[in-house]
Parts: sequence; C-alpha cells; structure tokens
Amino acid sequence: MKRDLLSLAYCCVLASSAGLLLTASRPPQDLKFAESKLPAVEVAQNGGDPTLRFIQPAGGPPAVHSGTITRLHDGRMLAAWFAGTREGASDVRILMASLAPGASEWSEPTAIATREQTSKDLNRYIAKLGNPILFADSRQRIWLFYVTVSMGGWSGSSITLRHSDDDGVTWTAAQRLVTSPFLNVSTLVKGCPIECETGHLLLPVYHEFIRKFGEALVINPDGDLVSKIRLTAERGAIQPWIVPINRHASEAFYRQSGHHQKLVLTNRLSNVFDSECASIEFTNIPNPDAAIAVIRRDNGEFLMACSPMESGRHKLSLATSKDGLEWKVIRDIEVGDPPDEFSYPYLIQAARGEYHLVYTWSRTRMRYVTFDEQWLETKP
Amino acid sequence: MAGDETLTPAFWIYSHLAFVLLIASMLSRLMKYRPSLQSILLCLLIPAVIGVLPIRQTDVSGFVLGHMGTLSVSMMVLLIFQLLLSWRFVEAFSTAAWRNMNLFWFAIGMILYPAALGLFDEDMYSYGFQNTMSWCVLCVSIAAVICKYRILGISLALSVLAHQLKLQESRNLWDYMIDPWLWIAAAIVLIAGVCRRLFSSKQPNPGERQGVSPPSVQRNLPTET
Repeated sequence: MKRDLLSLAYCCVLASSAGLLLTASRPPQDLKFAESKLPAVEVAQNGGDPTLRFIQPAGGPPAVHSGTITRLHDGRMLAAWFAGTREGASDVRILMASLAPGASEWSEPTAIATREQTSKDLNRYIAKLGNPILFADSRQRIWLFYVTVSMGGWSGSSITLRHSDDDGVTWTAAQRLVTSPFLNVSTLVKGCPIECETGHLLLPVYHEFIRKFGEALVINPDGDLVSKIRLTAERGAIQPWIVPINRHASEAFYRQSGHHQKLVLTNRLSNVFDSECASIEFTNIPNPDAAIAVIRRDNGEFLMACSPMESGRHKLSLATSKDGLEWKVIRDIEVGDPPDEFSYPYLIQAARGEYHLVYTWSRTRMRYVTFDEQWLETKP
Repeated sequence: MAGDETLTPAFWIYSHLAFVLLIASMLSRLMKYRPSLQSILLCLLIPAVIGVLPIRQTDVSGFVLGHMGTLSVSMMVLLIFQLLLSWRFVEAFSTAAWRNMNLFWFAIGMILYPAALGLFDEDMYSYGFQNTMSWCVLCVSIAAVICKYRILGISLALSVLAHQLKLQESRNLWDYMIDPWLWIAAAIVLIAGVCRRLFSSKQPNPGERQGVSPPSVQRNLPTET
C-alpha cells in the first residue's frame, strides 16, 4: 500500500515536471548584439581640454571606490559608486548622482542600495556590498548590478540586481543572481553590460575563488539569469570588458591579476553566445594589476582607460589600438606621484564622438571627465 | 528608496522549510526510541519558531542559510527521509543501496564543482540552464526508480519540478539537484565506509587470537545450563 502510494506520487511528480518542461519557455537562441543607436552630439565638439570634476562635494564619506556611469534617454548622466568609512565596512552604501545636460555640477548623491535594505530584500544576512554597475537599456530601464558578501572577503561575493523604470527615482527590491553552484560565491562585476537585439543583457563578470577567470552572464529582460559563458580559462584574466565588433563577434580585454607578465590581456570572441572564445593573448600595454575600461571609437579603433605602468596607480591614461594587441598611449588624464591613486576607470560613449569617464580619485572622491573625438585626435 | 517585494512566498517557504528540516533532523538524532506525536511536533515546531525570529535585518533561517547557501531539493528529500527514519516511519536502505546513492551524489559533485571553480576548462554548470538537461535528469530519475533507487528517483524528479516552478532564487537545475553540503556528506560517508572496511580487514579476528568465538558467534551459542 505504502509503495503504491509512493509510486503514484512519483508518477504525478514526473508527469507535472514533463508537462511544465513541455510548456516552458526556451532559453534564447542565436542572440545578437543590438545595433548601436547612439544619439548625435548635441553640443558642437570643440576639441578643447576636458574639465575634470568631482562628482560629490567634499566632506562626504571618507572612502569611495568603483564608479560607474550611464546616459539616460533625456541626456542626463547618472553615476554611481560605493562609499563608506572604508572599503568593505558595514556602512558602505551605493550612492548615485545625476548631471543634467549643460549643467556643471552633479546633484547631491542619494543612496540607491544599502546593506540593510539588501538584507531585507534577499532575506539573508549581508555583511558588505560594493562594485556597482549602472546601465540604461533601450527600453529606458535602468539596471543596477552590485556585489554583496555574506561572509569572508570579496572572493565570497555574489551579484545582486535592482532596476528602475522611472529614471532612478524608485527601484525594485534587490534580487540575487545565482551564478555558481558552490554556495554562489565569488562572482564579481566590473565591466559595462551590452544589450542584445532581444533585450537580453550580456554582463561581463569574473570569478576569484581558487582560480581567477573571466565569464559573462546572459540576463533576460525580466532580470533572470538564463545563461553563463566562460570567456577564458586563463588564470588571472579578470574584470573583462567586452567590446562588440559586429552583431556576433567581440573582443574581450582583461585586467591581469597575479601573472608574471604585467600586461593587459585580450581574446577574440567570434560568437560569445556560443562560447566561441579564442585563447588569451598579451597586449603591449603594461598593467599593474589595475582595472581597465575599453570601448570602440566611431573610427573602429579601441579606446582604453588604464594605468600604463608596471606598478602603482598614480597615472591614468587613454590608449588606442586598431587590432586590440598593439596599443599607443595618446593622452594622460591624471599624472601624480605614489601614493596617489587614479584607478577603477569606467568609460562609456554616450553619443557619437562623446565620451564619459569616471574613476576613483585617491580613494576619497569620485572624478568625472568628458571629452570628445576631436580632443582625442588633437596632438597634446 | 522605494521597492516592491520580489521575495516570493514560495521562496520564503522553501528557505524556512530547509531550515526547519535541518534543525529537526539534528534534534531527531537525540531521540533514541520511537518518539511520541508530541515530541515529533515539538521537534518541528521549535525550529519553525526559531527560524522566524528577527536577527540583523533578516530572520534566523535567512541568517543561517545566508552563510551556508540554499539547500538543494535532493538534500531536503534526504533530510525528510532521515527524519522519517529516526521516527521509525520508514525502513533504512540496505548498505549497498546507501553506498550507491552516495556514490551517485559524489560523482555528480565531482563533475560539477571542480569545473565550476575553474579547475577544468569546461563549465558543466552552464548546462543547467538548458531544458535538455532537465529531460536527461528525468530519464535518469526513471532509470533510478526502475533500478529500485526510489528516493534517488524521487529526488531527481522533484528537483526538475521545483526548478520549473522556480522555488529557489536560482534558475539553474544543478542548484536544485545538489548542493555542496550533500556532496561533502556523500564524500564523508564514502570515505568512512572505505576506512571502516580497511580497518576491519586489518584487525585480527579476536576469536582467532584468543581462541574464543567472536561475540556475534558467542551470542548464538546455546546457554549452558
């Protein structure tokens, strides 16, 4: 009798599972990058030296890091970063500020994610948070990705997301992305997402526990993780930036971590969605185990914000390359002396020929700079 | 900072149930005899109440599972089985069935975890997002039931069902099938079994050494009167 009941229950479970599977939506097939729809520049390019601005006023939290920036449909720029008494402290919050078109001052920063609110939303203990990424997609939805840690250091991170459909005024409750079967630890985010034709996002991420390597997540328009791609198995290739070359192909660039050759790494992804990833190659640009940011210019060249030195982070420069391997430093954004630090650049192209860069300024302020194509072309 | 609650009731129930089963299975270990209905209820009620107590912007079950991760469906099925076993509602597996089931979970973990941590180039975890894997798991489940591994078969079928119903935060079938604790527990059971076998084969038979029958044999001897 007991066995008959068990068999009946099993058959019911089996039939329900099969029924649900037959009606389940299929994972996306043949994803392609969306065509770039950058608006034309609203202000005439003058090629003049860019103005360096601090995003938040002096006297804010003593430690800030990991800036990110995105452009809204109305031309406003939104920037976010994490701030608190120190990196990893329990009072660290994700702050956001906006810059209206033509304005010279950023708005007063507001918190868009805190440890307490994230804990409550996720129904689990959160010890610290960091590394925000803001991204406004073509449907005018703003995505916020950030990392949360329940225990241990940054290698215990998992990715949390929220989104806003009203230009950042209100945000949905935090939602955790499960990206690893091993207690969901050690997936971090740094690079800019890329939108696909279907509205899916390709989010470059990296893994740090036991081995360090680059990955990418495919997130559907509802915010569900639907696929995961390993970009490289190369040790120490972290913080990938994926730069689309056409609808399928892209080039990924990595910060090297713990490698004997201190150079920026790259590999060609002929179709990232089919995990067609070539092996890693070394570029000629030095990298002191520091974050980089890479985009593609209108003329097809790559543009990288980086610290082109073997050690220290006291210099932040812009370099260009035609093939992704041979780079040439064309401009210095910041030049200081140790222990100055100009790090964690985040570079986007918001309109044709218009670039926006945010970075950490000596770990105490967030710095913002915008420049145009003409300035890049002009010899310093 | 406004926000809608996206924590679904199903996920809340799932994570609390995991906590209750975990603690109840620990408490049931303390019961040596077939417990009364009151003690069974108490065994379930205590963790259910503790689990919802608030602690650090969450509750106790969220705090515990935040540190140890969400339990898989298979682990929960095994915890339920262990509870029923300790309350004498079901019979224990045979040694061979228990060993084979642990071998299965250990092998699955060996396929999954080292690759996910980057020790192999191929990431098996990514297959868990595809429906093809769900069909494969259902086939394995049927095979397990046919081979009389009912609990294993039920665990796998329930994992697919829970995955389709999105009862966890994860959208990957692997997370419903196995968790690191199940893998570690299977490994410990297997290693303990191997050690026991090695140890018992090395130990000289006490009866042979001292010229007396081993205790098991002695017990069967007729009592001299």
